[in-house]
Amino acid sequence: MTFNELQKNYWQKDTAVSKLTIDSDMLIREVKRNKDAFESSVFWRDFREVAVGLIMAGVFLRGAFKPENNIWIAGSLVVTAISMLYVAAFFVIDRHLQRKKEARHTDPLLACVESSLMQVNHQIWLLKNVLWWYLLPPGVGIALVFIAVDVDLFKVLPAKLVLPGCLSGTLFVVLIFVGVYWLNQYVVRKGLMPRREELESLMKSIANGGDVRQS
Amino acid sequence: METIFKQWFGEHKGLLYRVVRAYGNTAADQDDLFQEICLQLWLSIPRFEGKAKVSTWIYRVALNTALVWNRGEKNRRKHRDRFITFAPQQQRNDSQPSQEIIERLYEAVRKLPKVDTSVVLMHLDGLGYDEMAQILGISESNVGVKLNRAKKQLAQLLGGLIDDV
Repeated sequence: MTFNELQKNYWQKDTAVSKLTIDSDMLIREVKRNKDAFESSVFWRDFREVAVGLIMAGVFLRGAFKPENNIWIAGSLVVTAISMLYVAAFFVIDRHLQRKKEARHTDPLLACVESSLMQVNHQIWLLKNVLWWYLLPPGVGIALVFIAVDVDLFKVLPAKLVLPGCLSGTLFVVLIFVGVYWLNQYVVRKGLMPRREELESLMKSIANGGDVRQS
Repeated sequence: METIFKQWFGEHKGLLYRVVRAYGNTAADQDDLFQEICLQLWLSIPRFEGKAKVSTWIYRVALNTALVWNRGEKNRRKHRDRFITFAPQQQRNDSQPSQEIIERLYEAVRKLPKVDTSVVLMHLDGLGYDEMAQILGISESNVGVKLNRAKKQLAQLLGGLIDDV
């Protein structure tokens, strides 16, 4: 059989296509539901990230203005609150900028794959650098709070009582930070890097064999 | 918007059916991909300016979705009752020998590299090089190169069914 025969006599006469019956009203309802679910998941993801930052900032600020706290503790709590606000703002701005660059499924295939790849690269960059923009700012603030509180405690309590508390508290925070960092690097290794490789090979396979058409 | 969607869907459901069957390996995959394509098609309606043919537009949306579709993310969609079945078993009941050849063809097309699958699909559906170039965003000569390569690979996968490639 020739390719043309296969195309004309079989592919284009596939009876399964003509027998397809789909309730279009039901389909539209499902599409709308998927659209709402998608938009709501994006909204709540952003909301969660920002809300956590704002709530934490509020908690630290509230603590800062308690009359029993000295200037060092109050100052370190304010620094921590500011760092929380910085992280929340970073999320909002980054999401806003990235949304503008999102892949459009109406673009030519090459452009669509390219923007998907750019998004994945950005995600990798974000997670690889999570220490600098997510962990370090509040980390510095929390470290300052610990130092200020510990100095205060050392003035009124014996060292053998304060030291274990200081060390275990510090260890606990460090472990949480290491855990968050490890989890982010795990996502990069297991989820994002294979996805990047997949998109890169897709891009190569679209573009190779000739020149790229401008559109 | 609903009227446009219904009209597009009614006229081009065959195109969607073929894309979904060519890119989805299992019935669940096909169902997920179908819903994703429908969602992207719905979202694309406001951007359609009528500069391209509707079929070219739908092809572009469907293939873009299929190509960058991330199976890992598909679980965000809750599985409900399926309103369309893409599984080949249903068609086999037709007891037409041609159905068997079509199933073999789908099986072979699914084994091609993703981009080659799209080129072969468009070619089988009778799209010209210019339309394929528009959809893919590459030159017509590149389309030709890809199509020849894909046809040869397809012939190999079909094990002697095609003899003129």
